[in-house]
Amino acid sequence: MGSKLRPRKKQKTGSKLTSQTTEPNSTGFASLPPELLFEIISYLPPRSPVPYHLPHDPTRGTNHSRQAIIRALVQLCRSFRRSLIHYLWEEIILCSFRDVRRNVTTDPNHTCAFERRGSCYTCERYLAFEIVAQLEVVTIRVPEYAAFVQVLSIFLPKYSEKTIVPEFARCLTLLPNLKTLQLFYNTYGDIVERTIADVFSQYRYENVQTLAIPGKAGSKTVLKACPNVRHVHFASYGMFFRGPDAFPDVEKLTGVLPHLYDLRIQDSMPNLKYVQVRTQKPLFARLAYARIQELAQLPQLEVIEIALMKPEAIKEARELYEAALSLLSRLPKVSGISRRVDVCDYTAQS
Amino acid sequence: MAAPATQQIKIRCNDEKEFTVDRDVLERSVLIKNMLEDVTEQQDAPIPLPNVSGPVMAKVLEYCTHHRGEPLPSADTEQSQDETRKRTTDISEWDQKFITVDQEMLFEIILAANYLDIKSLLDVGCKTVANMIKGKTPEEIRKLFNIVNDFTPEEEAQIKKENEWAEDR
Repeated sequence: MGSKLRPRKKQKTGSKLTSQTTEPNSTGFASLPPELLFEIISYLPPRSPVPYHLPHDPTRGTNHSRQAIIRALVQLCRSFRRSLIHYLWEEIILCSFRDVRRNVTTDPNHTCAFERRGSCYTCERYLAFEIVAQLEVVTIRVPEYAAFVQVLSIFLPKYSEKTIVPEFARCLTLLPNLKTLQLFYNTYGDIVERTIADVFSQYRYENVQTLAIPGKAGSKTVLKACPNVRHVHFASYGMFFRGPDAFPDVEKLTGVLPHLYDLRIQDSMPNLKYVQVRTQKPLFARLAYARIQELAQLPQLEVIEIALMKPEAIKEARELYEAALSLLSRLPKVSGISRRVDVCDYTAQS
Repeated sequence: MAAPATQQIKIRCNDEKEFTVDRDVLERSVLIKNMLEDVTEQQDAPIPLPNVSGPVMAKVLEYCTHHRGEPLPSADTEQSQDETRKRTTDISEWDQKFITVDQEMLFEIILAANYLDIKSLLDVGCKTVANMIKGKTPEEIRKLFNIVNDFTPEEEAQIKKENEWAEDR
């Protein structure tokens, strides 16, 4: 970005300057050079975690969110806009009711069930409008903004899916710095899923390195369209891997994993180095334990992350930790690889 | 045996105001610390600081004196500490009182901390500004910091168009 340092006020002594004697925006906040504005921005709430490991950022959709503050700053004056506009478009997140809160809450007849059931016609309609509109800004109205977008986290709605999904897939090719793509969709008897499978098979997104997708069959086409992905995150359980496809470049696997037996992990992702195993409910502890045993099929494995998602699963986390340590110690030794088990507590942030 | 006397260093600000300060206090500034390390012989000439005025330097020295003896961030740990530090927007009670100054002084302190490379002071200043802007509308921020809206009507129209689609971003 061609940011230009504003002329600093001339050397001054103490507090002699007054607004009558200086150019507008040449003192105080408005006169800070871009590097100091960036420093101030670094103290705002961080970007939303994508892929999500935990419930969404509670400030999202409020005027305390990072995006809301940056949006306010770029509307102050020309120099702020020039310096900070790239922050505003570095991520486009439209994946929940919160992201269209304003539209929905001004609709008096709407009782939203989006968060509870993951489906709501009105919200999906608003989301569809927003997806089109925001992609239109960065690809048509101000195409130079396209280079700013690094993170896209989108719920692909059923509403007008025959139009939205193809347009969305096409627009992704216009974002040269897109590194992280997170998609959500419901199956609705596989309507959206089939469209996704049809459409994404026509494109390749070379720059995407992190992909978060539902563990559904349609997601496989999305993964195939992103040949350089290193980190795959499953946002939900599903029958992802049935069939002979292999993704040898994927090194990190997180989220709600399918049963690794279904995944045929040694064939589909043989070079995994990092695998997350979640302890969500005591009911799943045995399944998680079985998953850890299956990781023995991955000779390159370096890290097993035990992700504590519910405080009541602490006992299971301890047992899984022991099992993971034991498994790693049994893997054949490879020079230059030091293996470890990490336990990450996501409960405090929920 | 008596402890060796702390070395005193002279500095001169852009308004010719001079200060004589204990070396360990001044070494809170990485810029001055490096300058002093580069000088092998003791010099009596004051170190010139052309980007800082006397009143601002007096405030900076007040901060450095209060925090003297605290460990400075090392190059190795700086990045991880950076992340942790930035996640907390809390400011200690003393620092909060210290930074309760008029806006002109606040931004002069930030500029001076940046120039003198005093990370912890820059933190305090930037956190204070970040806390001041959180939750405010553009109009409220303009009013608070006396910022003039210098957009042309065409630019205003474009911003409005962009934002009508991004209201909840």
